[in-house]
Amino acid sequence: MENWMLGTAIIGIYLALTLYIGYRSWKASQKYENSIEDFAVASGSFGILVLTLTFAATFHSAYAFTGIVGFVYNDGVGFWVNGLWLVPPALLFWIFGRRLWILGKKHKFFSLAEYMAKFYNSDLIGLLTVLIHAVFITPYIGIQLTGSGYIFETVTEGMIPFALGATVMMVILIIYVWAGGMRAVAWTDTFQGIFMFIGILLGSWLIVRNVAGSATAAFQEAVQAIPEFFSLPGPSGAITPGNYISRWVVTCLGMAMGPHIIIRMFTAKSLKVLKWSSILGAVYLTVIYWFTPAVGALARVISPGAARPDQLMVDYLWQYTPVIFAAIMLGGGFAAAMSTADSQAHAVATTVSVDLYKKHIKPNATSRQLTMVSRWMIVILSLVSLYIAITSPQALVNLLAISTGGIAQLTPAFVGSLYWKRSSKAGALASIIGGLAALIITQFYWVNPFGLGVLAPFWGLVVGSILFVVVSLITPPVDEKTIEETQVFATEVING
Amino acid sequence: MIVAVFFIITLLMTNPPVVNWVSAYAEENPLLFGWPTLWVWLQVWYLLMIGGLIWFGLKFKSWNVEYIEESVEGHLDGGDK
Repeated sequence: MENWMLGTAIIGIYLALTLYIGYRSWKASQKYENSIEDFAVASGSFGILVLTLTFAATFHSAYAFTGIVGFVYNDGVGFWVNGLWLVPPALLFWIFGRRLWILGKKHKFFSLAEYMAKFYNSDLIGLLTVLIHAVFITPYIGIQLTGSGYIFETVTEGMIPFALGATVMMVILIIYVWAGGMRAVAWTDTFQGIFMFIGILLGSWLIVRNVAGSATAAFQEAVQAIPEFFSLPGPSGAITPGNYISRWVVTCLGMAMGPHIIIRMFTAKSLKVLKWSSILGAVYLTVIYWFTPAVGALARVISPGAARPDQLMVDYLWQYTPVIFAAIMLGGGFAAAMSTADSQAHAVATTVSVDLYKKHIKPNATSRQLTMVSRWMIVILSLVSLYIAITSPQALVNLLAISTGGIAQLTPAFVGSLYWKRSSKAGALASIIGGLAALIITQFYWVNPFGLGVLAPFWGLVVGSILFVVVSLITPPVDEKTIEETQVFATEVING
Repeated sequence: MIVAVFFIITLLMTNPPVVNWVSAYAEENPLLFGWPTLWVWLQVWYLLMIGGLIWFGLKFKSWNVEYIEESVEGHLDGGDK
């Protein structure tokens, strides 16, 4: 059997298993009669294993498999600033999640937009939150489709072109998310999370072992070839102090504010599940990259001047590990892409249905109608993402550059709503709009202000935070009843 | 308070200027136990962060989920629905 046939067969088996899990979750969700609560958050039924793996698998995208080796290749050991957006988010997932879980119990909501609209008593803020999630998440879904399309193309040795591979992935994703909603997303994430953990950890270890003998031998060779790999600012000179700090702050907050992460806080069947899933998620996210720096160091030795460093992981698996193993490992990359895309499409579709359709278009919509709107939104979002990915890859890259950073601009208003009694509606609006404006200006028009090397979304956060505090102090705060029902209530519950 | 102090210390140790001092040391000593010195430094602190999370998860009252769950049920049963 030729390599491409074997690879295609393994990817095919993987996709069939994914569909089977989707089918099982659809069967399990039947007793809930298509309710929106079940479609959105699986009726808050997840245990530690499922929540840990859906959190971790959603957190890691195709970037975990391909992009990060390119990052190590270009920037050396400074790439491990990434650890700061892998461990602290677990703390945020617990600290923020604990409050949101308590408030969700009291007020029966399961989206960030719903909470923000309620706290600030402003449909406009809820609408802005939905729009920010939809606009900034769509390119992310597109990049996952692109990543899986390339993996498809590599595994099949070009027999299935990138566009067709991305389309196949999109169709399968739509089928199982349509059928089982959050339950299907999380159960497939559980399978995909295990798959990608083995794929990335074992795959990178095998590459290093088969090429250099061991990780330490790979580093020894790299020390001779490229000593600047081992210190800051790294071979490309990019990891300056400003870049380092802004990179992790923006990514950490942008990920924590993502609709696909927030919605998971409401899926836990108890706080115990939420707490231990947060902690175990941090362990998963940190351990998975153990051998990645060795692959990047090795790549500097054996592939100097590589034109596309982010393709190296895929190429190396194909070249340096047995073909059947490589195909299975590439399935791990596929899983990384798919588990993020399905969660993002599902989360945005849910928030559009609940926070836009129900609130602004059809207030008397039934639960079943909302579920159907969510399903069609998944189709629409997936099609738009695929269209952009295939026809305008540069637009996708531009949008992606500000994607996580765009979502991060919700942070000042969100954190204020949880902890600060002086928070005001005007302050929240000024913060969100001002932060986004600063982000767009410093990303596209006034690039790298003051030469500090700080990423554009960080400037957005600085401007947004200042605006939030100043405008909140000079405008009326939210009413006392709201403060009692949210901040005070959550604090009393936690402190007793 | 202890949680905040602990995480502030770990963040200070894993950010500039401290990482730049470690990086300067790594220019002369790029490897430690065969692994990149800077990576080892960061990894140790990340593992400490995770260890801290586990410790607080096991020991702290405000992280005690059974207690919080009882508390939220008590508040909701008290007519707060």
